[in-house]
Amino acid sequence: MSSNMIMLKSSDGASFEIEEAAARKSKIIANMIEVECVDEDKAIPLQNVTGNILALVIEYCNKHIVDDDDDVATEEASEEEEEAKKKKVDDWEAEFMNSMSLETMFELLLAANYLNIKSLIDLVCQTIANNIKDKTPEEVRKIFSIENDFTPEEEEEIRKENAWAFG
Amino acid sequence: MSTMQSQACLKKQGSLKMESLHHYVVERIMERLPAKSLARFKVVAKAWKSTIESRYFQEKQLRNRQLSGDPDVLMVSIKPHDDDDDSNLESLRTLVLGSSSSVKIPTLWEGISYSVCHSTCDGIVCLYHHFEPGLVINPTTRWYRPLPLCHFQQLIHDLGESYDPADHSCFNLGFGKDKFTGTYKPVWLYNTGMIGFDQNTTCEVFDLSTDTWRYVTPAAYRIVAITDPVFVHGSLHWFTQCEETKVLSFDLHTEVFQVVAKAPFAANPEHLNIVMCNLDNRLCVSEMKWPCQKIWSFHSSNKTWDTIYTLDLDFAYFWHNIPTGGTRRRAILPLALLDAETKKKKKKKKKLLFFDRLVSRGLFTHELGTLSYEAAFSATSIGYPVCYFPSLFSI
Repeated sequence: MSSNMIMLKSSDGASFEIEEAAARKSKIIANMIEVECVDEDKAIPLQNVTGNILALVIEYCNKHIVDDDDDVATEEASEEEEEAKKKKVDDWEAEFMNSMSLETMFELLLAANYLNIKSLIDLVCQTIANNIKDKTPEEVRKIFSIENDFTPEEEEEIRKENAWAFG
Repeated sequence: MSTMQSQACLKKQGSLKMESLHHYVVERIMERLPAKSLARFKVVAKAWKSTIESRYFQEKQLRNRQLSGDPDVLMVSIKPHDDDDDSNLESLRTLVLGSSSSVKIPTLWEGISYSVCHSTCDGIVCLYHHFEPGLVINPTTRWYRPLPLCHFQQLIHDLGESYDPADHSCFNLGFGKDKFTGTYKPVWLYNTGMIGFDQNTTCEVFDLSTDTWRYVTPAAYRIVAITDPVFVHGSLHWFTQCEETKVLSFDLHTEVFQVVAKAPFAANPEHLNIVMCNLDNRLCVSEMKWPCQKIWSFHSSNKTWDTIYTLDLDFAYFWHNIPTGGTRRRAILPLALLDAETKKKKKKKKKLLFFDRLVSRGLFTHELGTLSYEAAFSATSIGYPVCYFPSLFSI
């Protein structure tokens, strides 16, 4: 299997070995493999991803390694089997995201976006959305480090127009 | 290839995304938020407000909402008590499926007994009355705009007491969207002949840009009143009033009527026993022959009908203690197929959501191939229920 393994190196110098099939979940890495941008002996340096975040990305990719083949197998797999499999993945994803701080989620999202792993972007975005949906505008500003650029009058006006949403 | 080269390679591919990263990523989170959260988050900052108010973003948000779960149910003109007094009428309530209580939506038109177009479109709902001006509303944002009286309603209004509702009042307003231009169109189609028109039917389309009703070339067939017109794939549909019932469609882009197919049931059905609906964007028709009600789904490519459900109403009614209405029985009205979460996985075990039009006290679900009829919601009255996906749209 060693020929199917590739090395990734985080911004802080940590190296990770990962199966090519798993690494291909990243469109960026998959493209690099296609155009033979990957040196067989050297690790791929990922300047925007720290080791602790890269470890999470790799954990995710390893878990979803079979996804792409699934579409082919779907026709044959029985409904129950498929359902059980989906539930297992859902449970794993819930557990994976559950222990994560909002801060880590943002870092993971940046990494997923940089590496272009669509399903991970979707998962993290949805988890963050679920996390903030009941928050106040003030809390949201804090979470996203956003400065309020409305005047108090403007803000009051918008609050009035959308009073139903503040109930 | 050297490390330097592979590094350059990675940078080149990643760089484009990085520049617009922040806004792009934040928007991807935002488009997964419920409409209510987004309305509240308009005050976060100017950039958020302008994103949330852009049509492009609102469409993405709606698409995510449609993929991620079941529609909500809007109940229109609910009578909280078992009397006939319209002054107690509650105009709107909304229900998240699975919850046991509905939430009142305050309106400026309490007490008017509005009907609702069976088809909702992008979270927008059309309310109408036979001789009062109607409303196009977004029940989520509480946005609304009035819908003036069309010629037909004006006529009923002018006739006053000399008007005989038995002749005309049961025609229902259709509502849909031109799928090429995205223009929403309320459409009245009604049989004429006795009130100064010489065609079989008359059709009026409302133009939201000019705020007026205009006549279009009507259908050549008289239509079955009572049943609600149904919107599927850019067209509205009615049953024709022929011996052999046909399905008539009105393309909201070309504004042309045509017969799409013969109905799958036998000739001369009792009009109260046939209904039409949109299930998962497929045109469906249904006929009740007590105690069975069959639902067929239409294949537009080869113009055939598939039986998708056969309901045993005797069983369902008995189980939930619903009065069967004796000889006044009516076909139940299917509202939606639930378990949208599994839509992407093409799961077949979907539940049918329906309600009884005569009693209108509850919503029920039925799972295909089982004898299970569950109550999804019950109340003294649920008025006229329709399904909708909450959106931020206004038109």
